[in-house]
Amino acid sequence: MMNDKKPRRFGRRKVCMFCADSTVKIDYKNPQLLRSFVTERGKMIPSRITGTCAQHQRALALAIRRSRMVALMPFAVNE
Amino acid sequence: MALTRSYRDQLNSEREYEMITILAPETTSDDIKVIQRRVLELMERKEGRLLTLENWGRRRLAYTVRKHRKGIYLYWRFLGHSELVAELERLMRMIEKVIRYMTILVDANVDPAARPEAVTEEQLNEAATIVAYDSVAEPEYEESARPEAEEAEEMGEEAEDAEASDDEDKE
Repeated sequence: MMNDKKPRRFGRRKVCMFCADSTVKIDYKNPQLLRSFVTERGKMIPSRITGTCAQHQRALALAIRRSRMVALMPFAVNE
Repeated sequence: MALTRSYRDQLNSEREYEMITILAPETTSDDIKVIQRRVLELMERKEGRLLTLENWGRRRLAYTVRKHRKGIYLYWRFLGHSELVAELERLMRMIEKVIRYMTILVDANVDPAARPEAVTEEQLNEAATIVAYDSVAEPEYEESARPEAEEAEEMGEEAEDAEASDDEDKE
């Protein structure tokens, strides 16, 4: 019964970067940090891809939105 | 003392705010001095206190704001109440040099005695001098952070595949 299960592929379990290193503070005034959580187009990367935990993803999303408001980060990058 | 005070806040506590204002790139030091004076006047009237004022220099904006590609960033940190914020933002709208402002509540129920620092004359003068800021870190991120994110993306897809096959099994 269990044998006909398709082989499951596992990647390395991702760990939330902010839980792993509590010295890193999420701050909208630090666009260099926030840049690694948006695509080159400026869109936020979902937590399922970056591995950020829900609490930190919420803080991150808020920080990115604030950062955009004061033109430290782009809303969209058009080539 | 006819100030609007929040009923939610503890008695005799203050709120700590930070405000970023972006000034048009052609703003002069004298203009900044005038803005400083008007803000300080207002804070005195509304019983707030300016803790720090920083000038982040003339930076490139991530997008154009009122047709400006660059702007001078001022970072204010102060104690006060909602009424002060409302008045400050009104003032910022009236000053034409200010092209963007944003006020953020940092902390509520702050004991004013716990934040003894007050803005110094030196800081005010420093904030009035405009320096060009060149973002050095800008091209660096594309090399360092990009490959990692792409790799992560693949892993994310794998996880989805696994989930999908799970569903099939159930049926």
